[in-house]
Amino acid sequence: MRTDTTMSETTLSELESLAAAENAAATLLMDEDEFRAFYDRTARALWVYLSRITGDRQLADDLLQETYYRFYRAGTAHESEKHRRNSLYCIATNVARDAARRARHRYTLPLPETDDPHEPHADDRTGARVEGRTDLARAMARLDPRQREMLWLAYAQGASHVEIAETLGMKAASIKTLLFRARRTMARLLRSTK
Amino acid sequence: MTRVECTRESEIFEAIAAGRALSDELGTHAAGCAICRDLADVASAIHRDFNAAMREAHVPSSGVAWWRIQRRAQEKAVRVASRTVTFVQLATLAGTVCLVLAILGGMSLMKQDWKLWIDRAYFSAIDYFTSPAITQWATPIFFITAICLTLVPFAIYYAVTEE
Repeated sequence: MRTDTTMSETTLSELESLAAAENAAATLLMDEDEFRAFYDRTARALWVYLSRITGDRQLADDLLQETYYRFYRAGTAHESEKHRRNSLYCIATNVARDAARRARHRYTLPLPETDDPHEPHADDRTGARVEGRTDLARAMARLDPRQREMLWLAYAQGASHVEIAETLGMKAASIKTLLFRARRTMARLLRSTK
Repeated sequence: MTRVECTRESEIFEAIAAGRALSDELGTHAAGCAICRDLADVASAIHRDFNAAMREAHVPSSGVAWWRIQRRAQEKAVRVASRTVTFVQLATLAGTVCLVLAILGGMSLMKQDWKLWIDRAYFSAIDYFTSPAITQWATPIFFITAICLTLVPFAIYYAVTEE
């Protein structure tokens, strides 16, 4: 009798927790307002990420759209904003890799995306800034795609090793060494272009 | 064994990410530590580029992005539906062809007595179709069959589609 009671209590509590989990998952699925708010928070940074890892602004436009489409259609419930963001970057990385595979080359497009001199931001410091960015672009173009992704996630997005590993589909334990190597290579390239 | 990390990396990265200059003490350390010097060079270059690119990035508005996603989802649903309808039509066509071939095959077996067989079939068909029960139900049965055959593709579409 006591066993039956315990079992029924357990079953009820399990059912309740399952129902709660389902409700939580349902509330995490995106409606239009939620999607648009999330897009507003993430789209610019994601576009910059895509343009830097592919080296092509127009391709980045297309990949941005593809990324959000896949993200939305995946309909996955995320436990936190950070998890959701990681998932988005993971999709973006895969989308960029697919595009490179389809094009039968790995981001070999030349990067120098110099600023348009007619842009409203042009001022006296523009020359130095553009030069610095072109150096970075050249150095990035000479890196392995995975190193590029890793460096950008670490130092532009401020992602932790675990987040980088999740986004790039790698083991967290290997990130420290790989990031060190990528950074050392990048630093050498930056110094050599100066 | 090569050292791959320094205990002061996080301090340097935090300063760069916050847009602060390195303190004298931290700058002195970075000058003497290869790991921190690389980190400072790389992180500051990427950070500057990221900030500039964020200012210049032109992305579609969230409303446009949402509309494109919805439109694409609808197009995909239409593609799936038309694929299903095509499949059903092809299956029906294949079934019909098989049926016709089977009938023709059966008839060829009766080739020897074909005249006799046709006479019998003719008269038995006349008897059958002129019987009161059949004449009364023939039209409704015909229409029900036609409606069923028309609705089958739609029923299959609604059964298999994700939307």
